Amino acid sequence: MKRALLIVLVLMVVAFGVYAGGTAEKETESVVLRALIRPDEGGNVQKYADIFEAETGIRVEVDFVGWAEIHDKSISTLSAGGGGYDIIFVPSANVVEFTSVGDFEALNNMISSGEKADWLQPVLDLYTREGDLVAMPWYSGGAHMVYNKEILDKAGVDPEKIVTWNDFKDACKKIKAAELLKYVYTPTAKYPGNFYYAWGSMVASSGESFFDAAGKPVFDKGSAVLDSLKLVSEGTKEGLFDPAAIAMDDYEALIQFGSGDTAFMMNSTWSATQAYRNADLSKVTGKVGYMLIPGWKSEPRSGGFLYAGGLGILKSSRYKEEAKQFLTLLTSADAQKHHAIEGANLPTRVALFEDKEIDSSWAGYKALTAQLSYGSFLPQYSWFEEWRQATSGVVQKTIAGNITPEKAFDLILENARKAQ
Amino acid sequence: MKKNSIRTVIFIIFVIFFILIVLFPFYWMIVSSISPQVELTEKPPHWIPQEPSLKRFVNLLFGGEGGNAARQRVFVSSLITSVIVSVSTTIICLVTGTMAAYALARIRIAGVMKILVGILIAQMIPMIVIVIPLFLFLKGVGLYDSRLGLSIVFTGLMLPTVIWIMFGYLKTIPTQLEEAAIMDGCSPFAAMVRIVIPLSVPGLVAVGAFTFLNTWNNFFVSLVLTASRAKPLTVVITEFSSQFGIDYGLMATGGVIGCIPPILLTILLQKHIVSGLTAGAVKG
Amino acid sequence: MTNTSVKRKQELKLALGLVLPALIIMAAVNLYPLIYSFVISLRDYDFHGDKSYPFCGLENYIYIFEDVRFWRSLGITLIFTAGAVTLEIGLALMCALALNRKFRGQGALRVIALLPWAIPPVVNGILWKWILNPRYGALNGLLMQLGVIDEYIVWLGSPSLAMLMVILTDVWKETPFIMLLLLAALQSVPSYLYDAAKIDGAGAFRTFKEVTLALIRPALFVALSLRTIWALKSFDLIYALTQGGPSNSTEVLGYYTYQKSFVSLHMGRGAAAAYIMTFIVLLIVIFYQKAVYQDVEY
Repeated sequence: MKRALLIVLVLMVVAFGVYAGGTAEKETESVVLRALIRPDEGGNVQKYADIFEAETGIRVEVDFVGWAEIHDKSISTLSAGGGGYDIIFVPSANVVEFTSVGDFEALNNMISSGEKADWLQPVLDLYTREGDLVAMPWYSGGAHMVYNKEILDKAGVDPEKIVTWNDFKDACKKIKAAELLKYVYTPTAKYPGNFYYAWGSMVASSGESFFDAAGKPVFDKGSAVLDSLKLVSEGTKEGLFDPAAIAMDDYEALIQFGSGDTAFMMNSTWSATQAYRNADLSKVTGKVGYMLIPGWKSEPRSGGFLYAGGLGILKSSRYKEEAKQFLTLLTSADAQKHHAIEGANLPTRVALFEDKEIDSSWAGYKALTAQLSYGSFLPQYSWFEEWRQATSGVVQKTIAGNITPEKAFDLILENARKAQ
Repeated sequence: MKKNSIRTVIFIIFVIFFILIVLFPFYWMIVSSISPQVELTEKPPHWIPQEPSLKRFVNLLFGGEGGNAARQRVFVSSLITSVIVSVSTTIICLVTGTMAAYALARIRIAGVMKILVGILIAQMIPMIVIVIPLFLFLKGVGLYDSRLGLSIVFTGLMLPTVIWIMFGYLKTIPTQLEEAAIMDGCSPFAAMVRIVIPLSVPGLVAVGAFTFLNTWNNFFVSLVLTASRAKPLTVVITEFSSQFGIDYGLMATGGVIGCIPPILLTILLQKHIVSGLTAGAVKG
Repeated sequence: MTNTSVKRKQELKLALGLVLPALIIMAAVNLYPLIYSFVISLRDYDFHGDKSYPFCGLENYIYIFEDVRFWRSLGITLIFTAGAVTLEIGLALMCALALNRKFRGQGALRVIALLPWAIPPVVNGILWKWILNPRYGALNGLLMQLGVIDEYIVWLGSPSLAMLMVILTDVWKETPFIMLLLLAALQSVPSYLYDAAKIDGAGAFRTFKEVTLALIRPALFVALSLRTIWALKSFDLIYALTQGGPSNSTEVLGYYTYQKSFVSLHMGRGAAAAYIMTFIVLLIVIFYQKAVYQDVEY
């Protein structure tokens, strides 16, 4: 009997011994910062992490987690108290969620009241919860309208003249009539997140809001929601918009546009730059043009949803001061400039929007920053995500022609009232 | 005779059809991984890439252009993690699981089977709900983001199935042999090690393969329970795939790499996997 | 003390020693999270709400039972399960019967049949998402070239089609393995039974029903119950392919639970939904045991 237990014990020890190699690299004396960040800005992060280590001797270990997984990973990490991370990436869409689940350090002293004017005000507001700055504004971006110059030229469409969505639809008709394409535009609607780059931004382009400050729906007083529903419904019915939009996300729309199969693409800053520069993804790199997103009237003439990326520090972090140092470097004018030139999103420092060096580095920069001044951020309510999900289902049904735009409008309003 | 040859032809057609359906997605994944992105959006699809290149593989595995040493380090380290975690989970599972299964199969203990079935059923609870308590548990014992922690979790998750199948398998082995050995003065434990274990090797191989595959393939648990130090391959694959948006070619490349070890294992152990699992499952 | 009771005591000690390591690990990894999540399901565990997460009795369960979306997703889960399991078992049985003979390359075929089962679900999801892509997917390209369709189909675009595609993807992954299980069972049927049936003058159908089916019944039931349980709790595939869409038409219970926990951030409701789901699985397991297992003779 004793022998039996002994053997069991020995076996357990042997099994545990297998890890000797794996767990031996315990933390050494030196400070190591750990960050959870999405990979799209990987090059920029890595570069400044290396600079930071060279300057301070502090290593930054970054976990790059893809868009599809980072939300769930962040939520579970935050809800369990941080999991040893010092820095956590906070996308603009999840500020309420993340700060409700986890404890973030107030970063108020990182941007003094005198410096506030140097930063994009809406982004600062977005990352300010109950008076505290919860994340350093890192990058900004939003929805953009991209077009294929070659196709528009051939069809005789002048993008400068597209001011309203009706102009846009007429342009689509003209291109379709020229038999250049099967579909002219794809109003992506697969995921709730596609709200940003299609239907949601159509509504936002009117300057109307969905909700007031208290979260009460106000969109029933305007006409943009119904107009936008009619646009996607009729555009699809008339064969101008791709009905596959129901099952396509923003990335798939980029591939489609990049293959020259659509003339217009409304998409993120990231996708807008990829279409222009990334020859691996886009066959139309030399033919990309940017225009303002059309509006519903000639004034205000544009609008669209914006997004941003912020970096927060957890209260559970052991190295808050060091983490602040690193964030100061990563969000410095220098780093943001590098990111704007090499990367795919826009800065959060006002001065950089007029920066000559970035402007001369690539032609699209000015057009992209111009769009940002018209945009607005998604409202920040705890129930917003659920409402957006329900809405995305309704928009899908509208595009599929299963319900009329009027019926869709009623459903969206009903969901909004239920949501609170 | 003629009737027979018609049958053979039908049979061959059927087999070919079966193979085509099963293999086509794999074929397309491999083609996608070696085709340049611009070819992937051709219509009709290029079933045979015109300009195949192993660029993506080289980039992932060896850094290469656009890649960097850090990324390649992450990849190699995740590969090592996956191997260590899968192998040690398999070993611990086999040792502890077989011991427990033996006790249950050979020694009458009231109500234990019921408990086992209970645990099996409790496993039906969605991972999403369990993963946060697991996170807290690992953090509590200081094993969050470690290979050891990951192995313990997977052992726990796999054990009920392992015990169940081994229990079924051990039941098929007649008890006379051990009884004879015990008569000859062997201790019950020695009888188990010397007589029963050698006889249950096929079952052990099958269960081992099953454990290894399930551990290797797991994604969600690993995603949540690890960070930079103990990330397994499945987690890293999805990271690479999203490094530049969701490049389909890169996703396919990650997919191909992630499939190689399970496929190799399957090829090596195919005979045992099916027979072992059937014997255990059916007779359990 | 009698001799037998001493022996029995020794036996139990050995049993305890043997079971203990497994028991400790399972208690930590299986039991602790189970109890923990059950406690969560009894609290108002809402990340958007009061941070003390007060106990609220069965409120979460009541909420789930009153949620229209829960009942909808239960229906969707049952449709998915019924569709996938029927097709998988049916096709697997057909294939197994067809392949039940000796031929060269049997081993190779077995390896091929194991492949879909062996690959990581993550890869499976990525793979099929790419194949089903509405504009550049291989399925559309192939069917178009074969002349089966004359226009690209948006596979994941309409509720019924999306459900069908999710089921077919599951069928692709699971059928070959079940086929192998059934094939192994078929090959263990002694050939003299067929000879006997022939001598008795039994027709092909009667032979199938009374010899083949009767003897592979245990294997068939194991396959059936395992597949049912796994299909009921499927999540990975839905998450990768449709995320519950379009218009929530593929929102199975596993996905609903995920939604409640990770999107609505109400862990209490998520846990309650998970327990309800587990209870449903349990009912089905009991049903199988009562209705099906009891008449299996060996």
